[in-house]
Amino acid sequence: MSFNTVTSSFKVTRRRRSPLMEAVRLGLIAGAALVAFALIGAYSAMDKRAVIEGTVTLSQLASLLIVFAAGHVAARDARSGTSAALLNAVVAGLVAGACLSVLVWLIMAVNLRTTLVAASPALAKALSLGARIASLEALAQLPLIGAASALVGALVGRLPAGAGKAALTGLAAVITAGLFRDVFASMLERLPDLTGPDHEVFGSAGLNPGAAVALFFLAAAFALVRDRLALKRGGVPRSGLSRPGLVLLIAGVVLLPLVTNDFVAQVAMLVALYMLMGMGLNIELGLAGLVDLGFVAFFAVGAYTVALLCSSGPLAIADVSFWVALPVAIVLAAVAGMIFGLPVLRVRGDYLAMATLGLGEIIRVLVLSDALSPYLGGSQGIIEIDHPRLFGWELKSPVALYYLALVLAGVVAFVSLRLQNAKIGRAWLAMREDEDVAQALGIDPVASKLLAYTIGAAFAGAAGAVFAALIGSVYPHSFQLLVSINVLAILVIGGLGSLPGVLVGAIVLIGLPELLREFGEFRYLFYGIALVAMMHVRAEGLWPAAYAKEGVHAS
Amino acid sequence: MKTKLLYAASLAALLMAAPGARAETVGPVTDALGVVKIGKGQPVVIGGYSSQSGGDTNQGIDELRGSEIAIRDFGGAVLGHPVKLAGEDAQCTAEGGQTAATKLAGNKQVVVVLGPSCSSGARAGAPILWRAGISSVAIGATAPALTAPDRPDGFKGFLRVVPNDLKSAAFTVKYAVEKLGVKNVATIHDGSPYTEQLVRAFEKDFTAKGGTIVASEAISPTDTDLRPVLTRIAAKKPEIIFTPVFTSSVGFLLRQKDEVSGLADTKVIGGEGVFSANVIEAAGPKVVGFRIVAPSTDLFSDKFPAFVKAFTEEYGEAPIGGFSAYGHDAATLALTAIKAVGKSDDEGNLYIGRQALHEALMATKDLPGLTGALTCDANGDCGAATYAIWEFNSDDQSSFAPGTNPKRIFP
Amino acid sequence: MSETARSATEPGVFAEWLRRSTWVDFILLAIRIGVAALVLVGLAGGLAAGTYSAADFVSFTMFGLTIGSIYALIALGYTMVYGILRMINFAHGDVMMVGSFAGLFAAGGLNDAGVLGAFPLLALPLVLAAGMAAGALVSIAIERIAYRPFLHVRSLAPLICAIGMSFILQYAARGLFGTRNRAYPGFGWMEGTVSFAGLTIPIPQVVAFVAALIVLAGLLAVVRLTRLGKAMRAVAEDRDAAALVGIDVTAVIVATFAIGGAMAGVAGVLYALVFKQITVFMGFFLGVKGFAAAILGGIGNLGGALLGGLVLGLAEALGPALILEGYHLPAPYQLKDVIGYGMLVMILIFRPQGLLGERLAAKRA
Repeated sequence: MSFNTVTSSFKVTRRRRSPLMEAVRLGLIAGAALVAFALIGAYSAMDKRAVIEGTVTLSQLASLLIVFAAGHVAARDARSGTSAALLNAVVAGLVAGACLSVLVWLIMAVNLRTTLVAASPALAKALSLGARIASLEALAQLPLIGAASALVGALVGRLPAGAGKAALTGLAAVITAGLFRDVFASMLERLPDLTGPDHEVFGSAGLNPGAAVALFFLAAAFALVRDRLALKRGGVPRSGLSRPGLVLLIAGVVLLPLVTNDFVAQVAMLVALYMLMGMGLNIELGLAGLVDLGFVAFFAVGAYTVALLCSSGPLAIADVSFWVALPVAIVLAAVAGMIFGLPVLRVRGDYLAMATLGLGEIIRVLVLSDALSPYLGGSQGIIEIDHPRLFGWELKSPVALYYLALVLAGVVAFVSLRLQNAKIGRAWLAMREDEDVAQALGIDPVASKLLAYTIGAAFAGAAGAVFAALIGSVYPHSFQLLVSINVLAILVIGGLGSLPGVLVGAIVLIGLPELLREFGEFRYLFYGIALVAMMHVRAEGLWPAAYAKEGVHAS
Repeated sequence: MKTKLLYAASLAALLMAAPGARAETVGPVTDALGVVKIGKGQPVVIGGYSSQSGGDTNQGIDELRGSEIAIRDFGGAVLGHPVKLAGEDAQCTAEGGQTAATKLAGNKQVVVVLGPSCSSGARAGAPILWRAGISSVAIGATAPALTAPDRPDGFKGFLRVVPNDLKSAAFTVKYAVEKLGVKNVATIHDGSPYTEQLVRAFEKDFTAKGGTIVASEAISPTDTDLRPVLTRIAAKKPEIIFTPVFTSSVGFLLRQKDEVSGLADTKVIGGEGVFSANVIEAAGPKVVGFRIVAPSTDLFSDKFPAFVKAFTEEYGEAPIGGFSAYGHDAATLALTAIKAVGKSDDEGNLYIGRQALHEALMATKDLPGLTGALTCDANGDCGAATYAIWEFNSDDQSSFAPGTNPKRIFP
Repeated sequence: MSETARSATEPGVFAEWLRRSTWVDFILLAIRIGVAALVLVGLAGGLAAGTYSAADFVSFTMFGLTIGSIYALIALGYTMVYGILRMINFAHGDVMMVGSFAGLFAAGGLNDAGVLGAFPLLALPLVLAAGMAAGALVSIAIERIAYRPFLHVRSLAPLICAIGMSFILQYAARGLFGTRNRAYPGFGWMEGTVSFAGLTIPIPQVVAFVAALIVLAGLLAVVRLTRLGKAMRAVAEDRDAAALVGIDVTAVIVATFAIGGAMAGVAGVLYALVFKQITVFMGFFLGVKGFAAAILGGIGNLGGALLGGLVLGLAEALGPALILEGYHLPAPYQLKDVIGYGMLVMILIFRPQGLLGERLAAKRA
């Protein structure tokens, strides 16, 4: 009963088409994706951002990649020889490009804008790539470019395994460097002697063309050499992340903010906060199986406790050190967890999800309300929260606060690990698998659920406390339902019940979108696509817990 | 291992101690806060942060789009360099503002920053930018404290083109007391810091002038059925309702008001957040007679229709709310100041001193903007700050044009 | 439940209860008493305050029934899918939004073609049909993408996928159609009002209420009377056994999603007709409320969905007036969600299976 059996079952049901038809179908899918990409306005928005200065913009790159992928798949699916496979890819590319041509023509011929706001002449201009708008030349070049891109995709797929991989690695390196230009540029700034002024590698928005070519070959060569070495040692190329992978990941997590800039530290800080919350929810959901959609409530309790205790503003009830307020916040969040947990824990499954969602919303509305604003500040929030001090040193910079959150996350991870392996951890697992059987085995379901809920809440409270100290002010608008959903998604994407999974999930769902913050308009669209895609690629999570893996292999 | 740790720790200490902005001399320019050098043909990068996702998406997208139109109106270039707006998403939260500001502050090419949309984001973001020597010109953050004379040092680099809440509240009170002569007023806010603050400022002023706030209600921006809360208000028999909420809520409010008995003759006064054609569509026929408090100058009436036209051509839809004009003004203000202080050398490189730019921004006087003549005071308030009451008189969306629909009725 | 039944027949009922109860029961009892006291004090205070006239309360009830029928329509679609699949479709509210927009564009098209002017009575069914078709199509797509691949896996993958689909629908619609608030057209005859018991009620609200009843009746008829309904019930009961007796489980699930999506389309169009304006982001929160209503009524139970919707609507409209007024809180209607969700939590504590849910539901969930 695993993910694999399911996917295979619907592969069988898929009708067999002739390879050419399949290629046309792929081309149409890619074309539909391209048209959708253009019509939601993403093409125009991303066209302003260069990946390689003066050569390729982000939207052009994304479009090329879509067709590239279509060509790759079309060539792979073919059951005939190389030339037929390449022909299929070309057909797919032609069709995909033609879809865009049709769009360009439609935009200029019919006024679509009353319904579709992005179908502007500016879009048609951008898609005409410098040719006269919607001229024959402009319309004809799109299918040709598509065919070329698909052909490249097919060729890469047909290359010997090592070379193909090297080409893809090179491509990935160029795209990553171009996309995260700011991060890498800031790293280069730290090392002025190695590469000279940063604008030689990076332009104002992306890589410079020369640097892009160099980077491509460097990365490709690196991939080739690595494969060679791995073969020589007789090992198989590693798949998935292993122990060295974990060490590398942790080393990266510890050192990254030091070698880049404050922004990366700030993002890393948010990742660490979500890790804290994720580990809390991991106890509730991953171990005890309690679906909680109101997790943000405890985050809010922690944040408001620190805000009230450490603020020098008018609403403060005390002005103590962060180190005094932190344990108070954790305890209060735990108490809140217990109070909430008691009534709702007899409720099961989706009923529990709704009950907790309701509780989370109740807390948010109460915090926001005029009724409580004399005490909690209402929508104006609580401001002027002092930064934590350590040995007379004010922890103020994102880097310092990141390490604070990281240390806390480490402590929480340690506690989680111990709990997981303790008797109570096994009781939770038993209860998650089958509550009735667990009860028959002498586990008190309500008490052990309550414990899970309380501990989870305490972790979230710690996250909230650091959050308040980091931002220096708290507002009710930071405690939306979306935060609960984010934490839940982190857990599932990372792998339920797995601690490294929480880290990976937080990096993927919080860290990466932050680095593309400038496309905020489309952020949740891509977030949604990423959620769906990742569930399809790895339903068990990016780094599943050991027992989950065993379960998959056993079946 | 030990040495590595030691190395890492010393590196950490070094980095944490590194100051963001410091005096330097680059090319022909010496500046106390640092100098931005822009190579020949390279763009002048202007940062922007506003609410691009979440509940206040409309407002934030409108604002930066307004700024982009302003850059286009400026010729797309300043001192021979193309202008590029690097817009970031600040949501409408403190952490969003902080993250976006940190990102912009990390980009050494950013000359000046436009935004944010919300006071919460400004509170967290503006000091970070200023620490890096970057001035910011806010578009929608109206909290009075941000430009109070006793504001913290972090806000010294903070300017705004949107007038602060106290000004529009005071004007609204003046209208209610002097023109309408009303004694009993109800207020509604939607739980956003902006509307709440504005309503509170209004209530304070109005009570001080001898009026009575008979009902002070709140809704949520996602509410669709406002009839229960209107019924509660009707029971208190107010003469007018003051509510600076946004388009959706105004639409529901106006459409549902007449279904509640006792409110048929009660006038509604809205805020500038709905100064757009969209409110006509949202409220339908009920928009007739709806009054709003919004900026007023003849300048506004002349230039605004052209702006809306350019905006619509570019983005396929007219501005949703009333804040796009401030986005335009913020960009105009910033570009004018850059033009004043930028110095080119013989090779075509452009140098901009950050302190000099800040001084130029603060010295802005009578700059013709979209919302009026912009003049910055010592605290960074640059809003044109003359208000008027506008009244909608037709439910035809295409008739939207300040001066005809809505029509200025006071002063 | 059997314990209480037995203990009631034996002497020393209280002593018996005391013996059987755990500390949790005592705390729950305390919570119940506390909540009851809060509500009663509020109620007494609210009635004593005399802010509202009897006519106001009649109005509140009507407002509650209006928004309640919208919640009920959304909840019906929710519960339909849940009943068969035992999975939450988080994107249901956004399907409703899509249906609403499809209706808007259909109305625009019909208007341009002159159909609306010529046959105003035809307009509503045509617009509804457009909304239902769009809703069904999107819903089928959601089934294909978010549910079918995970049909045999016990995991949260479908939930996460559905959340992802919800984001995709919202933000794709935002990019495609823009963010502006759209006015919904009325169709001549729907602009009027009817008078009933001294109240003037706009026609769309009556239509929405009646539609909720019709939809319920229709769905019940489908489930109880048709072959498809029989197959649905079989799949709901035991998917594997249903497959063994020759039922095409996939087809049944697709049909269920299509029906659920069509119902979301109906909800979207009627919502828009009542409240007159729509935006691309309206679906999410209405979806959450519909979900709450479905849970409240007992998820998987069609009658329960209707009841849950109406109860939730009434709680939101009447709750602040009845309960919060007594505490003299400022801006009580800001807290209406506290009342709504608070009632939901309370009902789940008192009756964990919802108002009309079978005992079975708790077992399966």
